Amino acid sequence: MIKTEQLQHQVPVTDGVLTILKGINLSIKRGESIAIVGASGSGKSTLLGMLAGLDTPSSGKILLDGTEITQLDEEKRSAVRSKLVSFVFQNFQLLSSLNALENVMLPLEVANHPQAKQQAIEFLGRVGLAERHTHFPRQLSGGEQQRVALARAFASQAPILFADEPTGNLDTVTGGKVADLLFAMNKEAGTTLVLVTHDRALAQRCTRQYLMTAGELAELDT
Amino acid sequence: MKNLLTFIWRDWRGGELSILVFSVILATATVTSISLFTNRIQNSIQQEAAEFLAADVQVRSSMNIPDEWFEDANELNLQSAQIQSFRAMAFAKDAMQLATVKAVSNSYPLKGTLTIAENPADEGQIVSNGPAAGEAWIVARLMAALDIKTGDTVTIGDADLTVTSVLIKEPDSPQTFFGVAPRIMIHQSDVPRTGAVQVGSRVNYALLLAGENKQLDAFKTLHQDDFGNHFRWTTPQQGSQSLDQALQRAEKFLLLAGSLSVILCGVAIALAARRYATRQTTNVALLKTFGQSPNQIAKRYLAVLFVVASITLSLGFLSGWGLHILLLTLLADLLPANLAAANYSAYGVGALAGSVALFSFALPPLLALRKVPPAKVLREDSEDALISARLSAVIGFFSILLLVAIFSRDLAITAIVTVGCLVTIFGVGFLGWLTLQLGNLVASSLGQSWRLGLANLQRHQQVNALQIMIFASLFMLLFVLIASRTSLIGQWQSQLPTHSPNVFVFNIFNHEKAQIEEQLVANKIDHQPFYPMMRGRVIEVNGESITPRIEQTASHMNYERELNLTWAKNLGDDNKVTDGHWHDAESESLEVSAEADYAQGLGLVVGDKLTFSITAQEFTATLTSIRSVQWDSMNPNFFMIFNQPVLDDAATNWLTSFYLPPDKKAVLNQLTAAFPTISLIELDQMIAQIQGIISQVSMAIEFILLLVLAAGTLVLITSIQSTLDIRMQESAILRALGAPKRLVIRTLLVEFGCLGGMAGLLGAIAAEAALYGLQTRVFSLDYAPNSMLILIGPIMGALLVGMVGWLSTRSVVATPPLQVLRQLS
Repeated sequence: MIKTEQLQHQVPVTDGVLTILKGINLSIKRGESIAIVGASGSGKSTLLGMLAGLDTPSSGKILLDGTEITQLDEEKRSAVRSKLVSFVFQNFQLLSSLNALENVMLPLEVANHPQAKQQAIEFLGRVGLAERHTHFPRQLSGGEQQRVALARAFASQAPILFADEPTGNLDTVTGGKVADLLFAMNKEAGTTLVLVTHDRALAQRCTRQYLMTAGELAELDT
Repeated sequence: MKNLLTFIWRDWRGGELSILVFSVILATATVTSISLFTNRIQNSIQQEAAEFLAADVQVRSSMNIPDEWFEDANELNLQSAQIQSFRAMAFAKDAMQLATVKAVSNSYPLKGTLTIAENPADEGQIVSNGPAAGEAWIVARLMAALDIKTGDTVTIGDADLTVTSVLIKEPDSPQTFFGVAPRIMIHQSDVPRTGAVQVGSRVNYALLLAGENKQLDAFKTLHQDDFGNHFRWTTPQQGSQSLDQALQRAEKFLLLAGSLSVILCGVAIALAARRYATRQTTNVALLKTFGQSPNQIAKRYLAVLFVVASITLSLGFLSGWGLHILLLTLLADLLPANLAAANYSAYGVGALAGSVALFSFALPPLLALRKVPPAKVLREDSEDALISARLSAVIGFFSILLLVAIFSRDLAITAIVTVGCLVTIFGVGFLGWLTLQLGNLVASSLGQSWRLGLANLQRHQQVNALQIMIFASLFMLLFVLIASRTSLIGQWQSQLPTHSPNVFVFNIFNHEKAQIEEQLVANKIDHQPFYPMMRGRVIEVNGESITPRIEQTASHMNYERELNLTWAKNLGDDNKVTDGHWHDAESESLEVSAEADYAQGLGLVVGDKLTFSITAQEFTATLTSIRSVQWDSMNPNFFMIFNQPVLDDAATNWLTSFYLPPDKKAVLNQLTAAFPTISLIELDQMIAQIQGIISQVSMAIEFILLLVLAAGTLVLITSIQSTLDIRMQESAILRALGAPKRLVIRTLLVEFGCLGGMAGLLGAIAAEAALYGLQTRVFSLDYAPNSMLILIGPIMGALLVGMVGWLSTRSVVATPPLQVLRQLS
């Protein structure tokens, strides 16, 4: 489903060039869940952004469902994202001007989904927030906001879900509940999950785990 | 479309669009209302001024107006009328008197009305046409001189006419001293009967025209070749020099105020648009992660802009129209009952200004949103890709200047406003840097809130520099407007005080001077000095005839007519030497000073030898100075002033003027009875008309100033709002770290106060520069530096910005810090 070849990414800095990703080779099968762990600044989120087509690497290839996305322009990458990808972010990324229902509907509306509202209501129900659908993000707790984000991610029914520190902003108990929901919904939908976290316990719930160290990726022995 | 409207509705509901929407509505409404109001006032002023000519245009000539000109006017749907003026002796019973006969056609006057009465003491009735054939209307003074009353017969030349009315008021009453003998108005069909007009007779002809400007222009173009030679195209402005300067200044001020409102509203829209675009970056990044492509993003925001534009411009236009109606209702008592309609173009100015400002400021940053990297959802520090503030400012700056140029149609106003803005923009860097350096030096010795406030200023140098620039521009515009208004109204009030001279007496012989003076003193009438006066014309310059110069001149002046000449040792208060030097008291040779427009039209330069023909004698004088004359002062003024008497005292006439209260009008009859050869002009009507116009315009100016101030406050609030997020976040962090409320408030006050103080100082400096240009180049007034402005500017700036800043951010201290941080995240 996802494959990278010799993925490398460098950014210019004042005193030269900083290499963030160093020749990453990765292959993830359909329905598989992988976790990438590592210290802050190790390049985890950069790799996630590259895999999702949010950014382009300096060199190397990324194949999403057989499409080589590094050679595509932004217009075509957008089309690929629309079809294949959904996200859950550490800081939830809910639009403050939209209520819970509208936030879930947003990607469906972007994709011109014919029954965006019904689909959004259904998924809000699955995360237990059907009654709160008119509430705005500021009226929801952190855990509730992340559950709305989960509903939004799964409602689009994209085959790949990228999750960037999905419990990073939550306390242990709330984070645990959100993680349970994430894995349960992922299992039910059969989505390919790429999870970036520095929570080893969370990572262990994935089928495979990788450790990111200074731009290099190594699979952990599970 | 449904998705788009949903998107816009959600943005509106979330408050994202509200500042932008309100800015565009207010901008459009302000400019529309100012434009409609000023245009209607301008048109009314023009209309009233047209009454000074009894027409929109007069074509004046010493030759008969060709018949085909009347046909051309008719074909162009212009109203036309004709006047012939000549001097003739009027006889009645045993008396006779030299009179000016004004023969008018049926349709005279085209503008304004006549007032006639049965008896000289009556109040009179208003009529819209002149006398019928066989009738004569005569001014009261001439009736007294001829000892006749209505119903009697007066003989002009060979024609006997029945005096049917006393002529009390005519719209185009004479306003120069030339040829003012008492007036008789007759019908033009009676002229041949008088036999007074023969070949070679001196007759002045005038074709009166009234109609749309387009048709008038077409008529002018049709006979373009004839104007400048024997026919003169005279507009209301050219018709009355006294009114001309007052009107020109009023119009310039209204244009200036309108232009400044365009700038202020443009700035408000610019700030609001940038804030909207900035707040959309995260949303756009998120939409991109959902698969929305850059082109879709661009189309979405373009569509948003079009929808917002059509709604806000329509609402703005309607509000502007309503506001101008409200304005007219509030000022109903002060404005003419039948205010002229606005031109069609005036309706569109507000919407044009709003749309140009909206698209030039909002389009670049909104289109730049397409470049927002989707990875921004993962890393807040990702490059924003928003169009740079500098580029945006440059685009907006030129767009606004273009708008000002279109709005004012005045190169001087556009250039001066541009210079003022440039002084502000370039001054801000230096002044900002200097103040921050000084702040650094003294910060350690100041209190905690000062240290924190100054640190905030330094931390956000770029944002603050932009904000100081905006505030300074705002203050500059307001200072310019307030100072211009004050000096204009002050100047008008000083030039036309309540007791301005309203009677001019001239043709006073030397031997009558002392007796008239005695009579005036006996009646307790304060009179102006007696000016010697003679009539003559320039015939040669440096020994060559002036005819080639007259043929080449582009001036509308009639250089062939006789001028009123005088001599004086001292320069009048309302005269200013612009070239050369005023008369040398020791000089024994004959020197002369010329009025600037007259000199320019003939191409005269200081040092020229001018030969005058005065009472059939020739005199040559050296032109030693050129003067600008404030014609609207209502004081006696002259085109040529010699340094010494040219004629013997015995051959000299004198002129004086004085204010005559209404209850002493009988004094005039005493004077004319005792000195039948003197001539009198009563200027009550004209002064009242000018004062009326000035009070209307002053009122309009005051109200427009209020509107522009409202627009300025909008800019201030918008500008502060645009940086509110970052200030709220910092204040919330300070409070979260345990800073007491009082410290947060004081820090904010220091920050905003310093910003306002710097902006006020810079605005005052830039305003002085702009005022110098405006006073000297646009309003033709003397420039006096206003040193208080440099002091008041920073204080006012600090207080105003500090207050608005505190009001806008006071919620920071009223809301729990966690809530603020949550909202901002």
